[in-house]
Amino acid sequence: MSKLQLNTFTLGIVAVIILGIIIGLEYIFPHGSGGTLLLTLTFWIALVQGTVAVAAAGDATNSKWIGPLKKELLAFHPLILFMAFLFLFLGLKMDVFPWFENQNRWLNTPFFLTRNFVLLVISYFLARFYAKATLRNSPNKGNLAVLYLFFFVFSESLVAFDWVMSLEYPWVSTLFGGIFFMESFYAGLAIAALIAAYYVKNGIEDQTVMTKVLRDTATFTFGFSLAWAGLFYSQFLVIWYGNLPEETSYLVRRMHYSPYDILFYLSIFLLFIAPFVGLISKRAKVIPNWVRMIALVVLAGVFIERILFILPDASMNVFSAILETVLMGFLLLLFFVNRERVMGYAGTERSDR
Amino acid sequence: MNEQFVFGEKHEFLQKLKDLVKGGISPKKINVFTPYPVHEVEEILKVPTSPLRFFTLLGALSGLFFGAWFTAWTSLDWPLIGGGKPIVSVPAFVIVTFELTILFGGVISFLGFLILSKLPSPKRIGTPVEHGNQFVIEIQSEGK
Repeated sequence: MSKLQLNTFTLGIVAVIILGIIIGLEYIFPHGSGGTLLLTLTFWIALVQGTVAVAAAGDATNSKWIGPLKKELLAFHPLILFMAFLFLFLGLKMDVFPWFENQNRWLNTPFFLTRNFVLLVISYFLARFYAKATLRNSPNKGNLAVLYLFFFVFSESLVAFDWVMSLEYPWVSTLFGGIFFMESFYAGLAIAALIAAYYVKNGIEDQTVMTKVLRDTATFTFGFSLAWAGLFYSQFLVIWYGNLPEETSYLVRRMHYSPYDILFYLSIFLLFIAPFVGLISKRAKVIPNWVRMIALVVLAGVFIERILFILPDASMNVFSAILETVLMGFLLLLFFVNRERVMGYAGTERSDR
Repeated sequence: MNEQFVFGEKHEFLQKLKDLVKGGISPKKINVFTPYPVHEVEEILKVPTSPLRFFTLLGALSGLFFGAWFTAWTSLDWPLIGGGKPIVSVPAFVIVTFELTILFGGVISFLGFLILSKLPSPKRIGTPVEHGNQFVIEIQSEGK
């Protein structure tokens, strides 16, 4: 992995090149390109905002387990800005939204692009200030963490309402935003568990501390599988019980029609049943290979659920979807490997170890 | 007479406890008194896992079956169709079943705790000596 060590400038160039390739892919594979772009945007924004949110939540609550993972989790924060610019490109693909022909006061192209872009940029800068403050251990890191979390919830809810829910316009569900930022946090925890498992397996850092961190992150992942099931069920039950035609259409299309029904049950299995059963035992939480597998299962679950949200309303292109996912995964790996450079604090001691 | 070590700091206490166990003293002979729960002690003394979890499992499973049976039975006993839903409408009953699983699991765990620690018996509540905020290790002497 040391071959991937780059300096900050090269890293920026690589990010811009990947941004260019993703935009190029949308033109090489024009069929269903809007849906593919939405999938890439909604999945990776959840990951990069979620990891920073996990670190911020750890700081806001003065928890110790976040200490050894802080730099690793915060390394992804520049990608929020990357996602913001990638989002601007969605402006050329607005025809995926059913309200594009018939715009109203909330859902119109300029306001849609402005409010989401501005929120993403604000959350990037807050993440940046927070990351600086917490690595210097400055006294106002708690305040910045809370401020970041506020904007994280705000922008992630708007991602849910604007980018995804408006595909089903005029269908509405007030819980949609909650599900999205909860899932984003869940994905962030899965990444934290992945990193902890990687450290334990390769014997990096203090093993007794890292084993504890692995157990804590695995416990959190287990807990959030229940939280996800709770939120999902509360959305499902209300729609099922109300049985109103304008509300049920969303669920019926996804539950009873092939191939979406497979994705529907698969996402329940991957996001609730597999992590719940897999991490319930005390011993399973400290086996790095097992935790890594469950964390990957959770990430796959979030990805499949994003497909389930978008695919019935906007067609996707398989090739560009796979290529974009691989490219984004590579970019995240690059930022993880270069975390010391990204943070610009190489050589400084971490205080809260 | 039992041998006693008294500490004011947690880490000194844990260090001494580790040294004692390494020094060959059987963990069964060591008694510790701490002002608050210290989980490292369980790891050092290798306390066997308590059978309490089987009470929890039993309670949770009985709650699950009771909840599922009770909701279905009450609806079938006086069948009223509400909102066009089937008589035994599972999605609505899941919540009652879930809550009863937790309730029974919790209550039976508590009862199991009372049984396993032979409570409520006045003799077992509290220690004869008050140690305040000190960490104490007591080693039982050979004679006892």
